[in-house]
Parts: sequence; C-alpha cells; structure tokens
Amino acid sequence: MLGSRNLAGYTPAVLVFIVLVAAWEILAPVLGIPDIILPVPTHIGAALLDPGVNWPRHIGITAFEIAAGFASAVVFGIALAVGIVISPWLRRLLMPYVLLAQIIPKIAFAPIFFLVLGYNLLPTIVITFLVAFFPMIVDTAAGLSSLDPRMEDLLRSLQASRWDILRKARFPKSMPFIFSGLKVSSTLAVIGASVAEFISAKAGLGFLIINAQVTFNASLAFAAAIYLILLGIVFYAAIDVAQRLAMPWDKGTRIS
Amino acid sequence: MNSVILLRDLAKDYQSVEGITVPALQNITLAVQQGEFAVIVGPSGCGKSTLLRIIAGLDRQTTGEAKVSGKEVSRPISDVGIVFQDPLLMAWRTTIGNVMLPVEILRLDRSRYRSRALDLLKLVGLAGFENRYPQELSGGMQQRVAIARALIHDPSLLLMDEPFGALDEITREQMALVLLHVWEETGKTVLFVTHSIAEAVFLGDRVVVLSPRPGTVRENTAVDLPRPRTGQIRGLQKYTEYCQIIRERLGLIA
Repeated sequence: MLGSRNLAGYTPAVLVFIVLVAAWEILAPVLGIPDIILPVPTHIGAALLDPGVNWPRHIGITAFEIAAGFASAVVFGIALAVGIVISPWLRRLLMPYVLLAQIIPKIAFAPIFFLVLGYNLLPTIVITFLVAFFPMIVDTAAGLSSLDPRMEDLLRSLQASRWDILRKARFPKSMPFIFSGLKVSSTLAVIGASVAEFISAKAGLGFLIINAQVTFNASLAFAAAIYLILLGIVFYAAIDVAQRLAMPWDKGTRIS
Repeated sequence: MNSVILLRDLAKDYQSVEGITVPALQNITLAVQQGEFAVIVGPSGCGKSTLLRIIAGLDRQTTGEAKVSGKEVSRPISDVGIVFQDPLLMAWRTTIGNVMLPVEILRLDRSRYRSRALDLLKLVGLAGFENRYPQELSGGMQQRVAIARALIHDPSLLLMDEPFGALDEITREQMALVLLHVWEETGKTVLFVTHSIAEAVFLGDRVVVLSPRPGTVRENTAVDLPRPRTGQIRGLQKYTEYCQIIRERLGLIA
C-alpha cells in the first residue's frame, strides 16, 4: 500500500493511463475497429454501470468464491506446512500428494468437479482452493525452516519445547514468507475462480464473460473483467494492510 | 571456592561423512571458580565452540565428565546464559522484548522481571532504547541487548562464544569495557571464548590456551593485572608481556 505522501510520485503513471484511454477512445473509430471486437472506453464505462446487469450479485458471488477458496487454501496450506516442517514422517507422507496436486492440470479436471460436486458454488470454490494452496504450503514451509540453527540452540539452552520454538521463533520468523505466499495465492485465487466459472457456472463475473462472448457483447466482457481486476486489487491491498499491521518491525522488505 | 564449571578428561569425537572418527576435543580438564572470568583462546577449529556447547548441555561429550554447579550436564540447563558471536536477536521483538525472551520461555513472572530487564539495559548502556527494533541498533548495541538477554534469568554462569568477533576494533574495545562493568556489578562466572590474544589478556583472570585440532588444554595462565581494568591496562608493560606469553603458548613465536 502506498502512503498518501508517496501518491504524488505516481502522477506520471496516472497521466499515462489517462492518455492511453483517451487515445483508445479517439483512435478506435478512426481506425474502424468495430465495437464488438474492441469497445471504446466510454461503452465499457456504460456497461460497468449498466442497471440491466445485476452487478452486485455477480460481483458478490465471485468475491465469495474467491474468499472461500483462498481462505481454505490459507488455513490448509499453513496447517500442512507446520506438519511437514515439524515431522519428517508427515513430510514423506504428504509431499508426494502436495506435488501431485500442484502438477495436475487442475483446470483440465474442472468439468469433473462440476459433475461430482454439482452445479453450485462448491466446485468453483474447490478449484479456486486447488489453484491457490500451493504457494501457501511452499512459502510457509520455507519460512518455518528459515530459523537460524543457532537461534534454535539459544532457545534449546533455555529448555524451550518444540512448541515454544514454533510459537516464539519459527512462526514469527516466517511471517514475511507467509505474506508473500498470501499475495501470490490471492492472485491465483482470482484466476481459479474466474476460470472455474467459465466452465460451468450460473452466475459470477467469469460466467458473465463467457455469456458476453456468446452474445458478442464485448463491452460486458470488458466490464466484468475490470470488476475481476478490482476484486484482485482489493484482496491484494487487504493483505498488504494486514502485513503492515502484523509486522510493524518490518521496514523496507515489502514491495508495494 | 566452588567450581562452577568442572571438566575432567573430557573428549569429543565426530563421525565424518566417510564414517571415520575425528577427535575434536581431547583431555580437557578445567575448573572455573565462582565469580571467575576465564578466557579460552585458541586457533580456529580447535573445538572452542564445541566445548561451550557441551558445557551448555547442547552437545554431549564422548567421554569424560562435565559438571556445572556440581551437577553432571546431560541436557540444557537454565542456570547458564549464552552470548554468541551473532547477537541472534528476534527482528520482530523490541529491545525489551528480546531481553524478556528467556523469561517467557522459562515461564517466570513477567512483571517482576520487566524491571530487572530495564535495570540490565541500563547496566549495558541501553537506557532509552527499550522500544527500538534490532535493525534500528548498531552491531555493538545489538550485542549489548544479547548480553542483557543472557543475564535476565539470573544464571550463575555466562558462556560467551566470540561475542565481539564480528565487531570493529573500536566497538570491540568499548564492548570489553561494558562487559567488565557488567561482570563487576553482577559477580557472574564467565567463560569467554575468543581468538583475540589482546582481548583474552585484557578481560581474563585466567587464559586457557587450546591447541589446534584436536583441542587440548595446552596451558593455563593466571593474568595478574589490576582490577578494575580500564583502557589504561593496555598500555602497561605487564599487559604486553602477558600477550607475548600467550603468543608463545600458541606457538606464534619461534
């Protein structure tokens, strides 16, 4: 997140954006690009606010799917990482499955999830979870393993239990890793939810995009994509704020 | 006087990757009395750190005896405070939070030890820095925090493994004075490991010279220099002579 003082530094980026959008608006008709291929920004803007589309419902559904899939990826990912790090036995048991689950092209299996789990929100949430969980496990496990062995010695010399070491040292030490995992995972969750909706959903922003494709409504597709982007930004920004609050000691290692 | 540390015929072997037994320490016999400032000096790889780890209960000797405060050491004992070369502070804890870490691990009364932590920070010259994070402190200041942390639970023995080895010369001499001040105020028994001859003579009541691998106690030199020691000591003829004696025992003078 940017502090308000630093915002002035981004004026050039904003100006470039305005110039590009204006050029698009002016040049598209001049070059004779039809609206069903590349709608002009004003038409997209109109679609964004179109009262004929139930935006709150579609945005709400997709946001819920992303949040549910992402949250389960976070909880499951962190829990599994803890298990893998504290127990070599669990690591040998679980790692092959974790890797397999990551390597499988989950999107290719997406239609099967709909067949098995039914045509409701659940398959989308499951696919979102599957797409998003891997960075959480890997980053958390890397963070939990990043403790200096001499720090462990220091704690052991005080008769610290494994639980003490996990709670007082490994976990706080892994915070930067967990947050970078959260950031990657949240953006993957947005992709997972939208692609799952492409396949077989009855509502949501991904569903709108597929629908717009079939009906040659390019403005609607663009508008839905913009709302997806905004959702992604909201999730990312929320994580960034959480990181600021959770790691007040950390200055400079975050990339905004 | 009571021996706080008592080592008798202690030896430590390591198994190399090829399965060969490599002796790291041999025939270590050493007694450190209560309140004494003992310094171990030796070349790199002579097993100095291994010796400290055994005394702290972090490692087991292969043969021989290791006692601290009269008890055989077989696992970590909380009657010891350790300072490593690296301050090993937790980046997410403030100065006071780092000093209080042992109190939390040992489940001591936090409110009571908090005032002790503030006193210790004053003693090491860090009054007013309680709420700073480690990355806001210089290397020397971080090591002062580490010393305060090692003393917070009031152990009778302070083990220091090249604690000033990563500091520049000036900070190093400053820290030696800080440490002597802390030692005089608290009366702790100190076992200090270093590879600096000047530091060993300046600090110690006694300098123990370890031979190269496998480490063996080669010589035990009592340092009869006046206390309390100040920077003046370094200018004394006797100080220079002691340094020469240690050099000789390390085989540095042909």
